[in-house]
Amino acid sequence: MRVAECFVASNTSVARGYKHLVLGGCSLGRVDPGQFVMVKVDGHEVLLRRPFTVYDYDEERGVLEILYKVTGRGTRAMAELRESDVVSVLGPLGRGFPLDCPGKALLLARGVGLASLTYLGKKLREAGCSVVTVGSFRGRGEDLATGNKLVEGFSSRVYVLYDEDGTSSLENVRRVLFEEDPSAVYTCGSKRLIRLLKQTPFKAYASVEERMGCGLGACLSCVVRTVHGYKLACRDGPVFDVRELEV
Amino acid sequence: MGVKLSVRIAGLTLKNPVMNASGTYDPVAYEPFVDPGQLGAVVLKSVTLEPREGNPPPRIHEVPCGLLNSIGIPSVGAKAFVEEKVPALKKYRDAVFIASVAGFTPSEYATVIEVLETAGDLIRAYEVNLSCPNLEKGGRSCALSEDCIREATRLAASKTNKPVIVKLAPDVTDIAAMGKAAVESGADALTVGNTYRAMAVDLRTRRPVFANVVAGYSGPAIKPLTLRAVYETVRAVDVPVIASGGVMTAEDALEYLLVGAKAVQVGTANFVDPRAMLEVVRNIEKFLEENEIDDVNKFINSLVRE
Ligand SMILES: Cc1cc2nc3c(=O)[nH]c(=O)nc-3n(C[C@H](O)[C@H](O)[C@H](O)COP(=O)(O)OP(=O)(O)OC[C@H]3O[C@@H](n4cnc5c(N)ncnc54)[C@H](O)[C@@H]3O)c2cc1C
Ligand SMILES: Cc1cc2nc3c(=O)[nH]c(=O)nc-3n(C[C@H](O)[C@H](O)[C@H](O)COP(=O)(O)O)c2cc1C
Ligand code: FES
Repeated sequence: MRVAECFVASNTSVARGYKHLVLGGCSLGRVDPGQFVMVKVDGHEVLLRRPFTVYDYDEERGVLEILYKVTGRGTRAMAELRESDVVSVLGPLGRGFPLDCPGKALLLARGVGLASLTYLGKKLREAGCSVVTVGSFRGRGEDLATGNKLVEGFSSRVYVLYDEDGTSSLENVRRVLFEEDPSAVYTCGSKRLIRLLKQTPFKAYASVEERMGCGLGACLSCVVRTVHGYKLACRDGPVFDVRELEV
Repeated sequence: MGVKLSVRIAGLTLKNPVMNASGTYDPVAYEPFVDPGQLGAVVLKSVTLEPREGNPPPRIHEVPCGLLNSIGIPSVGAKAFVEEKVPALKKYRDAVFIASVAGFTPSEYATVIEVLETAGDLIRAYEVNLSCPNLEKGGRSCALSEDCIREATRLAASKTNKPVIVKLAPDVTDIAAMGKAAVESGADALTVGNTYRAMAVDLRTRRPVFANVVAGYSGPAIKPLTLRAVYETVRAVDVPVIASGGVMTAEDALEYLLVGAKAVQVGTANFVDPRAMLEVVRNIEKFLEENEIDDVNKFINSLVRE
């Protein structure tokens, strides 16, 4: 865990409202899939760091990638970053996903939640798992999976589901799950998908999102309701067994 | 080199005038970034008598130039604090620990202190947090009432021989009167202040952002407000005043020292940069060197007014 001053190698649009930030000079030591970083963006009226999962990371080259949705003040300022701008990155933080390999892993992503599963997909593949990716998106304009080299690289099969044509319905997701019959499911913070997974027999882990102050376990702001009471997303998570979560 | 940074507060000698603000730093969580032995003191997260979960999320909300929080003091309770949290601090041999005490009634602060007294010498002083706006709905706190301040301080001070620092709310009509009330009731030092009662609403849902409605405002926005409060308190009491409010940089800290604070606490800044406190210490030293001041105590309360 450290603070690294990284430089922007590129910051490009990938889909409607989504950008891909590539940072160089970003040596954070070992990063486990599912861990996250806190990024400081110097923007108008932005004070706190913003949490982002590691979309991809190359330890040797010191390259960190973030896939993000432009929503509020912080991410709007991030969207303005240009090549060679310097960004302060705190990380890696939190506890990542357990890798249950060998076996068949199913990554179940909703929207930009895909970002929390790609580095995992790569590591699962390296560890000898076969990986099936299911991406659920509002529509084709928000599709982050189709044509995504990283996703295609580690996935043996990719399902892309949309709200606009109804394929992302819970019944359909459930059908895909049972057809694939994975040994473990990994998902992002979508409450709908977490609830669905809790009703299946599959072993499943989710990476949750909560508002964060410090990212380190000191401010006690990032609480998540679990069967054991509140836990801290930044320290005890962001990855939890879905059965532990009360959503 | 050779600038003297150490200050004395209520019988404690601090290496330097910089400590953290309660609830914004944890020595274990921040270990990769901060050696707590390099701080003037470490103020621990407030402890309540009984275990508490704290408030439901969301617990923080960023606003321009600051932060609203409604954490609500989650606590393992005083007994578990002594048994579980204190032992983990023993390894920080050079650190000066101040326990922060919270309560719902004036006598509860005293009861918490009684329990914490069993922790022994590791805790060197108590900060009595009379001013948390997040414990009760509507943001009421003991520090809004002179009577409550008197009673809570008197009871707290009667339970210990260690220094008692009373943490006041800055958003009161007459901070000097509140400070005097605490000092007359046995406070050995004062912390001015805490967060400011504030509120946020969501235009889309038309609901308050926080379940408790009222939350506490911290960060850069409050510094000039608390600077005024510290200035007035220092001139009204004869005990050391510790400043807490919006210290982001050494300049902020120096401003507080200039108007008479003996030490400063760094809060929200710890979230922005986990090394913030050490930066503040380093740059206070640099400022004093550059201005050829060999002892920080010569700078403290040296505000020029003619
Ligand atoms: C562990 C973790 C990993 C994340 N990974 C990604 C990622 O890879 N890609 C991505 O696009 N987004 C991710 N998010 C969400 C991302 O942090 C928010 O979208 C971002 O903070 C919004 O900031 P803003 O200033 O643009 O929005 P604003 O709404 O203006 O933010 C206001 C405040 O609320 C917080 N906030 C707002 N939305 C969220 C949210 N969904 N989760 C947590 N805090 C929020 C902000 O951090 C900020 O403090 C992640 C969140 C967490 C907790
Ligand atoms: C997330 C958070 C938690 C806090 N918890 C406590 C607490 O437990 N006890 C306390 O006395 N003050 C608490 N405070 C108030 C701070 O100690 C400090 O007085 C206040 O934030 C103003 O300083 P700042 O502007 O430097 O943050 C908390 C503040 C924040 C932001
Ligand atoms: S973000 Fe501060 S405790 Fe989790």
